[in-house]
Amino acid sequence: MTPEYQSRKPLIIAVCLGIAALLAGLYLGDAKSGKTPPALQTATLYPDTFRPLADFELSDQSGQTFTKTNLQNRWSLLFFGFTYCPDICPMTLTVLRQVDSALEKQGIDGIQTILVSVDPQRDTPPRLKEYIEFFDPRFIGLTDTTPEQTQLAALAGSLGVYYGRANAKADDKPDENYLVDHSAGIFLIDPQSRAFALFSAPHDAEAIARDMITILKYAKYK
Amino acid sequence: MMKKLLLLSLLLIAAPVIAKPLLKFESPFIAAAPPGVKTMAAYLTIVNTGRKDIDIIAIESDEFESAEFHRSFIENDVARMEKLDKLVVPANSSLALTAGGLHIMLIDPKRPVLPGELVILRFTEKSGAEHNLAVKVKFADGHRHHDHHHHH
Repeated sequence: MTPEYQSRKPLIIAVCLGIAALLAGLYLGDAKSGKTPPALQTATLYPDTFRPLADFELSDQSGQTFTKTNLQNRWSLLFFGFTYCPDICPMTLTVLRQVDSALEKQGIDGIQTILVSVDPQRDTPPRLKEYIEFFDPRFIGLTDTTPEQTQLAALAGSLGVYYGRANAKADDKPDENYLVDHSAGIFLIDPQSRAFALFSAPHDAEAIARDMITILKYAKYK
Repeated sequence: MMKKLLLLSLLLIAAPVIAKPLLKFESPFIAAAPPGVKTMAAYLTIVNTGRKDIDIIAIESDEFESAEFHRSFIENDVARMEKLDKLVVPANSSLALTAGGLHIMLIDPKRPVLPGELVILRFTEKSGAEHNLAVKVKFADGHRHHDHHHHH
């Protein structure tokens, strides 16, 4: 049993609990914070104390180890997808590239853009390298090279991310063109490796870039 | 001579009937994809000028092992994709295949399919009528990644 095939129920419950915790946290966050959170178009801010990420050890597209520490001291935009996905994932990567260049025009540089594969079985580091660097050579692709894919499960779990093979059957061959369902959100991770905001789908580059500028200003003076 | 003339006149009468397809295929393109991909997506708008819905029941391309109609959708913030058996182009209307929604999924390219190339897609209607369409491979947003400045 790999995490891909597990029942959806616990995850759905986890997601619901996550949303409840988020809403509760947002309320508390508002009450205790001196500064009013900014009005945002597409992002939802996590409260201060919410969701430190789980420790994880994934591999980047060059085969280098990538852990929570690699998220420190800079802002990261992180989303989940897979390279056999021909429609949504390229669209999201295109949006993220547009966000990147819109932010650069405003003098905001150095934000890490990260795709985490929900399909480690097919997405090997070399495969990810070909894929991610096509969109932008600075983008980072992460995959889980552990046999049980526990590292992906840890990271995804701490963000309340759902993923699972669509219409999985017991006799599926590994090389088949199966599809993977996955959470469509883009997560903003702060320089302390904490989930700071969530951008919900559908994604619009202009709206994300505008919210990013607002959020970064807010985070600076908070 | 007489026979030839007869044949020619028959052709002239028949031609306008044959050359009036009810479906029009507008702004098709295949999204350029990274090297080594196993799946690509094609997008277009299909216009039905007829008075009846038209089912498109098959799609194929010689450059790919197979092709399917797919639909991406977001449900409870989860990105999902499903295979469709057919496309129904409504009468006097059109059907748009766009990123994040309906699309043609092209599976297992027989060779690398590169930006700028033309690929023939073959649509088959339920009636058996076939349409061959030359579709260009291009970047979804006009982006050309090698023009992008690399700096740290």
